[in-house]
Amino acid sequence: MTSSTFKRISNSGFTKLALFLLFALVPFFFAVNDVQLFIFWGINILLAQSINLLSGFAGQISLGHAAFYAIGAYTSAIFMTKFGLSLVVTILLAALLNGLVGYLLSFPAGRVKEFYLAMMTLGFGFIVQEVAKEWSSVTGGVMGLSGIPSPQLGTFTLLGIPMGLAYYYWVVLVIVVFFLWMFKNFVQSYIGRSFLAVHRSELSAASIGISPQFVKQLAYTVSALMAGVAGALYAHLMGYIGTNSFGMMQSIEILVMGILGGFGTIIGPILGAGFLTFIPNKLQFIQEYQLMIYSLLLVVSFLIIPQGFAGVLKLRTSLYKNLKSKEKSPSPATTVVAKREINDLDANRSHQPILTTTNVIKDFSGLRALNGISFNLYRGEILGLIGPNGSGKSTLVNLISGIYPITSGAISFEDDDITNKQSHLIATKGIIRTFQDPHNVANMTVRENLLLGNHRLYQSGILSCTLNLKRSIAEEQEMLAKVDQIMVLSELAQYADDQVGNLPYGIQRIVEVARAILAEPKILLLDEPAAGLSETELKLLIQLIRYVKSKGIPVVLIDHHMDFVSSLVDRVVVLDSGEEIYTGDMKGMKQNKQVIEAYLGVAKHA
Amino acid sequence: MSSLQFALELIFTGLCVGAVYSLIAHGFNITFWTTKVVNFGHGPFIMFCSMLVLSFLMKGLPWIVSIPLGFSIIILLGYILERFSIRPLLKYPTSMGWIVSTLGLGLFLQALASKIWGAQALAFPPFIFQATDYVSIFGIQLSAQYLLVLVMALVIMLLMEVIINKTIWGKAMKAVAFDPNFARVMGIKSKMVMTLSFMISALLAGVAGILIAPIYGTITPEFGMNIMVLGFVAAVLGGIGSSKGALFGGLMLGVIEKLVGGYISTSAEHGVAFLILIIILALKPDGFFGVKVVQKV
Repeated sequence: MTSSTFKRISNSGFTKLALFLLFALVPFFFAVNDVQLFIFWGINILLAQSINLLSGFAGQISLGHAAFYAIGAYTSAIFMTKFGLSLVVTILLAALLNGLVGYLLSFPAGRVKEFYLAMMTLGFGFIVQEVAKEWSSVTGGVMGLSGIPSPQLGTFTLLGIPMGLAYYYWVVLVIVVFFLWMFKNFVQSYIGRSFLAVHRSELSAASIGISPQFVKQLAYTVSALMAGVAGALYAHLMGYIGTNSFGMMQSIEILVMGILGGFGTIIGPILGAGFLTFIPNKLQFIQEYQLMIYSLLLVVSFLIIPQGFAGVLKLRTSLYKNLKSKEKSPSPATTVVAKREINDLDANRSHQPILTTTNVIKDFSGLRALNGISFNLYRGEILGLIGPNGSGKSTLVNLISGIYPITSGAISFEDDDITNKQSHLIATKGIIRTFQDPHNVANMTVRENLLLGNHRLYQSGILSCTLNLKRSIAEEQEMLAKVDQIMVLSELAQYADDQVGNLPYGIQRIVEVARAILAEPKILLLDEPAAGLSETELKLLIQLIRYVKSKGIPVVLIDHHMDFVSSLVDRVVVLDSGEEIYTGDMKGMKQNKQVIEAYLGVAKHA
Repeated sequence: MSSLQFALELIFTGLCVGAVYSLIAHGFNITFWTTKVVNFGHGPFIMFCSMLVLSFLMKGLPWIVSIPLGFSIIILLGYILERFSIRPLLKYPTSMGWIVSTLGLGLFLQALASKIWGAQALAFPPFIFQATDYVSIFGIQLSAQYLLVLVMALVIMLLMEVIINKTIWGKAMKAVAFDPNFARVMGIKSKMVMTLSFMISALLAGVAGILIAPIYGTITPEFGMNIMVLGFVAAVLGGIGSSKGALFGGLMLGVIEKLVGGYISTSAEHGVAFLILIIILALKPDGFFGVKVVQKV
């Protein structure tokens, strides 16, 4: 059986329904102990997906995830025992409170990265456990909370009906399935893709209009919310909660489930959770050495199976919704093209600048990289930005796209002042750039990377994407059609489903340029797009840039390849050591003394 | 006067504990210089060394043998850590690999310690002085044991500073910290310097372990992880990578902790440290003496 047939079978609605029914039958065929294990699996799936969203998708490592689990468990337990609220309400409260905690945590956590974040989350885990230990009037302190209504003790009722373990199992099953469905919709939407983009590089995510800050806030909130639901379900399963259940080892167990299963996929954490639920329980000797085995798994998993079980089984989760069979919109490709072809050609070239830099100065701790650069970019033109290495070309692009703050001067776009605006806001306005080395998301396919380009055009809300509302799906189909069109134009169709990281360098560059085009920019900034391209790839690039020009989109082009530049540009600005030494057409440039001096060192040899 | 005396005693205890935090922070700094890696298993290293020394002592070995033996084993562990948990994972672009892997090795030591010595607290004997030995300075009673810890921690840090700034090894380490590839071109065995930095870092963990253990009085397999985060707070407070910062951050954290413990509640001691960590990372991630890193495009 090939993987594609496997995929088709596992994706069909019938298979899913059959699986669901099979799981629903579990209480009839298994002993009480095993049913309890299945419930634990469900709870662990929620935990594993929770950390998967935060660490696997958004790339924010968490070593204190048990803290969220604890807050959920305590909240739900306290509201039920002290106020007699129903499970439906307490789960919601646990989820909401946790979401709030996650949201608040995202502010300090969003400011740090890498091992700083790891330590911070480790500290957060300790703090929450410490609070649970010390705040004994509410949490029961080290004694824990007992007497929580539990189906195992027969003290549990839902909506007035007394519930046994089997009923509780079904409740958990429905909740888990519902969450998995929402999780899948979420990660396959433009929001889910933006998580991976931030994971790869906040810089490049911002360059296509994704706000890293927003992504992190959302990731922490949703991740905490899911862990909160898991905590609530755990508290009512056990009937007792103590601080020992939410220590560092629990955080590590959650992390192991995610890593071992495979971060960044949907099936992975489900398998990881299952592994850690059933294996230690069924094999006694493992229980005895459980901690040692978990820690060794941490040491070796990244070395041996960096992508976890999902990687071993080659089960990749695709990151877009392909529902073409259901939603046959009347060939959207043509309508899109037609709409865009209307405003065309040199008619758009005017003498009204779309981008103006005024006396821009940039200092890097004492070194002046740019000294008073003023230039205009006019609608519909291609402007070459050239100069020797270190002359400040890339710095200028970095200033325009908001990556570096400007020391002094101003940049305005259309009628807005964009000086020192945040990078993603500038991109949202329509100033899109590429980088000297391609900044695609290596573990996403070409199609998914190109969809990232569309990010700033999406309008559906988070809820709409999560619940697969019709509008969000129609929007996704529309974007997919645009992607198809550009893939044909840039000859990428044959690579559509290949992961970008596995493709040759030249193709990666083309993907990045195509991605930028898909953002439907108002200005396109290309930083050395031709570097390292083969002859054929170069021709393709020229074709793409001409296409952009035909849309009336102005382009700023940095490159050293003179034939390439001169075949495309309308005007050039030449920089040398941070000074603007020439502005005008190519012909004039070649005769300009200062330019020749800058390139060849001595003027008289020219 | 008695309230002043109380405050002074708290500050003194804070300085002693803080000096150990400084040592831990130094341990982070050394590997951070050479590889931009901090060992997430540093805490269990601290614990493991004190456990080893304790078990040698209980076997009847004298201090003079137990301590070098403990140090040798911990240095060996530092070597193993670098070879298996760090070197193979440095090639990945994200830090998640080595964070998880060093943490895993640390947790393994922790689990191993509870397997061998049990999970309960073990009494650690006082070192050189008795717990009841006091020195009186300016009318306040200072525990001789604490004073010894403070002096030793300061001496070790001073020694390190001298080694790094004056000797050829220190200079090689600085060169590797600046640019490992460039250092290699200049004839420095970068890889060896990196390995060495992890062995020194492990040794510092061991030293911190046997200095803090007599102060705590008892040790458990878990105590390392907790104190590691405190050492990290010290490092962040001063600015990761700065020796001055490690010293200052550690002492400051120790004093704050003890003052909070003395005037508010002892159970809030560690909580305050984590709070400081979150606040300092949110407001000034480079710490007081750190160097701001420029983002490269």
